[in-house]
Amino acid sequence: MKEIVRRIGSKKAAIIGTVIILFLVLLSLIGPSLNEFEYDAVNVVDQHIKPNARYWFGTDILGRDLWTRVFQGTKVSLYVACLAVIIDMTIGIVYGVISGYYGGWLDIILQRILEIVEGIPTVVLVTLLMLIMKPGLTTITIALVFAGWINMSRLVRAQVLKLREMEYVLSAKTMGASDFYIIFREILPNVAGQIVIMAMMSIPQAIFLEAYLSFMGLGIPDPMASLGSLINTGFQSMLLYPYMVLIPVTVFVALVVSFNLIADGLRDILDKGTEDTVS
Amino acid sequence: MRRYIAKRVLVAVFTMLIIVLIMFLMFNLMPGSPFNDQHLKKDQIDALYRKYGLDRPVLERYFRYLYNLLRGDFGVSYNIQKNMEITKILALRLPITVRIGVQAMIIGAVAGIILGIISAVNHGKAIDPVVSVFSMLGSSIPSFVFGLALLYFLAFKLKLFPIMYSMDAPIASTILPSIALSIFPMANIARYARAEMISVLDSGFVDLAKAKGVSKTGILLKHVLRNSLIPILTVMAPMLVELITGSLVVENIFSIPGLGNLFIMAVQSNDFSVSIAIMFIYSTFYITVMLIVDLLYGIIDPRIRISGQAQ
Amino acid sequence: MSEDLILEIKNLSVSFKDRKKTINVIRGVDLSLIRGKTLAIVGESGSGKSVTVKSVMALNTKGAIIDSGEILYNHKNPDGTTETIDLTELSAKQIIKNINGQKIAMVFQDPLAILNPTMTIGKQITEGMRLHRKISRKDAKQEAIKLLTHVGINEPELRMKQYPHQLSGGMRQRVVIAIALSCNPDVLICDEPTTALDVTIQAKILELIKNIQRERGLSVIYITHDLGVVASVADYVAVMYAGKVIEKGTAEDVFFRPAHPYTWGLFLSVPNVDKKEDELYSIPGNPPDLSEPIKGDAFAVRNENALPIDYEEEPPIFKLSKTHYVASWLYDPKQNAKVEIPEILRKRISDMETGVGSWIL
Repeated sequence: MKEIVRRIGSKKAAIIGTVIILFLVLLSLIGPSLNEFEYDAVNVVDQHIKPNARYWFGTDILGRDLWTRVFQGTKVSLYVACLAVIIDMTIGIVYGVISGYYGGWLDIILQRILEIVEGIPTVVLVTLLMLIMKPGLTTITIALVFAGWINMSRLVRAQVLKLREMEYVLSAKTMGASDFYIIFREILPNVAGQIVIMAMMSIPQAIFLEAYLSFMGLGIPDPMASLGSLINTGFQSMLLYPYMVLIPVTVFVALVVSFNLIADGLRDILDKGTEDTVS
Repeated sequence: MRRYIAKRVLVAVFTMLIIVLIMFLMFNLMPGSPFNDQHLKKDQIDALYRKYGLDRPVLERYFRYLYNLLRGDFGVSYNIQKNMEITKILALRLPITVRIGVQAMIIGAVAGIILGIISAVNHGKAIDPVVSVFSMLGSSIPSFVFGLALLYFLAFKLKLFPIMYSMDAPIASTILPSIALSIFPMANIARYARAEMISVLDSGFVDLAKAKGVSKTGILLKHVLRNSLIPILTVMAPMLVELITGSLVVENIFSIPGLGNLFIMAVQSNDFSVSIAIMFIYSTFYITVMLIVDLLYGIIDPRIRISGQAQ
Repeated sequence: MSEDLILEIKNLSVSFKDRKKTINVIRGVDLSLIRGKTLAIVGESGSGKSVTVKSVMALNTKGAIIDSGEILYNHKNPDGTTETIDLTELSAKQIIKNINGQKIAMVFQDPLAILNPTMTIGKQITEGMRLHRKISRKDAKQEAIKLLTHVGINEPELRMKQYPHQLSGGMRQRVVIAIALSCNPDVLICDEPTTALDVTIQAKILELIKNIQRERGLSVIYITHDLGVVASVADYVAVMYAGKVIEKGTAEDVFFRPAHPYTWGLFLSVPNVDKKEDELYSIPGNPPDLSEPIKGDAFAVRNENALPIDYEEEPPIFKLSKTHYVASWLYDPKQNAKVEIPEILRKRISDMETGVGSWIL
């Protein structure tokens, strides 16, 4: 019974998370156009101005409006979030299904490839990519494509391996159902909950990765902005102008916490394995 | 079991070979050169290439590199500290990074497990949600934010710790970065430990232990902890690896002359002999951690040990 | 009270509480266990039989509260004097420390779930000995090996070093029994000890428990819904329904002269392999929701022949003989009701008495 109370509680948290995300999506879309400033407009007169009625989040040391830049940066984080989900949903699932469903030598080869790709730390992989390409959104995208699918394909493969031997799948097979039908009608719907949870959990990871790269100056190049790069530039003048760090950090944390809350809520609702412990 | 270990080690070595090969190919594709000093003339650069053997084909360089690697030779730096042996550079920097990482992991694991136990045992009481909120925040805030906050308040405002790294005070100047790095693993371990212990506390053998007359502490230490360690270990391994990423930024914030710092310098100045050496260390570390965790499962959970499979 | 009772449960009421509602799982249970004898508590799942015995050992999940009643444990000291302890007055901690394992031990339903997967069999058996009896590791080991031999496990030295998943289901249950015996308890509570086992092994385990009981003079409580088990082991039977004991008596009383309509239904729903009968009987309806207050007899709504008073007032206990008690208005002389055992059941019982039929299936 306490479990149920807790579950409703965490659903409430998930609802709050959703509201915050929707709010941030809205702001990232219309926020930059709510005032007259451009994200890359340098203004030598209005440098490092504290937040006021004109500059809602203040300006940076080049006099660029931080409100515009913060929500420009939020857009980057949200883009990365969407990207992570898309990668999970496409590469991750396809790889996992093929590996698990067809098995045999194909599975062995695919698993060896996975082990090798997994053996390369993400930072190393991304840095390598940065060496042959210019830092920027494209490079971050490619880096995420390289690293983002592994966990999902692991999960899907394991589930497919398990479900493949289930009686209802075997019976569908004996009745002559095509592989395509079995995968889409008999197997994937039964994994859907876990896929959704896994996809939700990969979002904060991807956002983190982008922030780390940008913080190290390997991500989005100036004058474009991401929350990570804003925190990085703010950090350099943190001792004098703390708001330059505080504002992007707050938005960043709100974003990641919200995604985590949603993921948690979804896990409670969808993951049958964890519920029903108390009757 | 022995065959299983052998197979795992073999896969790990093979992975390392491929990774080094990929690195070589990537650096070959790289547009810049370590010798892009404007004062150098074309024939001088060519001479430098010849001197370091960079004019040879990629595969030849790859196998020569592997051969040298076997003898523990990473080559020399081209750019950052010209002609200095990389092993010597590493000898100065690696221990600092390792110290920060180890300290962070110890703080994170110990505090995380303790927090997990506290909230699992007090499941449903007031302290439980407090720990949950901490875990949620801790796993949603990147370590550089904690680094900045610690630097700002404890080092800058309160002057309790040095702002810059000092060789003379290795503990005082690495404790803040370690704490900053430890929050993420701490939060996650606390969360997993809590969930795991709640489910283990619910299992039959806890009832049997109670029926045997084992006290609460005894049950916790002898029965629950051991059975929840495996899942906790599974989440700890990727976190150890996350520390690599974390250490890059945290070293940057606290100006620590460690590996991460060196890595960024090397990458930015195209010093690829140093870059490859560091990436090699990172990858080796990563793969070794994964391997050890895999083998540790076997020691902790006899069911895996006997069947010899990780699944 | 001339009988030598080792355990007396008097008017025990237990409820599970949370913020939303209270479930009255046990509603005034009276039971007693005679030293050296076997009591079987029978009932459907949810009837409260497990909660009753778990209350004795403080094994109930969090949120279970003993609202009223006493659980008296009469311990016989070596010098012959008897010492009575009311377990409801002890904290869970005290019960676990002083009673569990040493005085009262339990054999659980599912041996795989109940054994710690990460501990060797040896460690699990010696854990209690070392804790309560302060004997050396070596002595404990010797004794554990003896115990394993005693419960019929071959190669005990080897088994000591093995883990639960390496043993078969029947062997695991023998280990659980060995663990229960490790601190020489007086009372053994067996909670569905054979339900999780193969049919072929069930009888062997029951036989083992019986032998051990005889050798050690143990008093045993069985919790089960399997009437075959009851028939083969019990001296006394208590039938529980919706958190109450609705009929109790000697095994003969209950099997040959079942008095409560619920008991009849329970017996009728056992498939009879000896005689072909048209269809398998099942009691209509479902057990009541114990979070709601119950008016009258909890079984009334499922009872085809319920009396008007069944819906109004809870039946008191009627004494049918020196040993046989039943909680049903049917036996109230004032109700003037006709007690009629269903025809099929009467036939079955007479078959049994003449030795043609049996309850063991």
